[in-house]
Amino acid sequence: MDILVKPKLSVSTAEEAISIVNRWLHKDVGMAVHATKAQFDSITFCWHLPIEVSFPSRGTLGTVGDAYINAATGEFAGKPEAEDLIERAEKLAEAFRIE
Amino acid sequence: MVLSSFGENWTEYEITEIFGNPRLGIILAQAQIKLANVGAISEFDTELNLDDLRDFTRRNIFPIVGVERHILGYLPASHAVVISRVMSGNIEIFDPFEKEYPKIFGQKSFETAWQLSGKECLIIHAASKK
Repeated sequence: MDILVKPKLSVSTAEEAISIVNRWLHKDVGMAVHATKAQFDSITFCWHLPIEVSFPSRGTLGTVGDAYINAATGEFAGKPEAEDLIERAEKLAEAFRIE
Repeated sequence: MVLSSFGENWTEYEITEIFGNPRLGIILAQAQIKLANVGAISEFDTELNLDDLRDFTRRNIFPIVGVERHILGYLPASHAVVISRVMSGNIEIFDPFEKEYPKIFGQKSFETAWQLSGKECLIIHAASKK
């Protein structure tokens, strides 16, 4: 008898991918940096999430990087160094005169 | 509100002294460490649910949680807010950025905003000035 195997994804929704990336960003970078959307790429099998700098007073200032989550494993397939993100986010905040 | 529930009054200057004023925002996990340095007992958790938050507020312990503001009808930004009450179907929130508060949001919207932000929660169990 054939056994049907239904593969289970670790990260099956955009919401889960956003949660994973935001938990990392808030732990290693700061609350001003976050992801708000995730797009699934069926070829790489990864979620792609733009990383943005946002402040409650101003909303989104701009994008400072991208993160990729492997949908099967839930692991990061790619992400910038936290130090690089901090540097880019600080520069952007300074350009918008955020104190 | 969070600290005053322990009968402690902290000035804004004292709070800034503890947490600093980083441009990219306070990290809740780091806030726990900084609070420990000034004698406060707190925990950082990412596994709590709404029932847990309700139980804390009933004991006059007000959890600080991260939320994604655009889900609650504001400009996009991650932000830390204080849960003051969990009611049937609604959540009452103190947001330090808003002038008029508390604000009340639907449970579903709040849960999505909390989940998307990483479901982070800082619970302060006791605070006393050293």
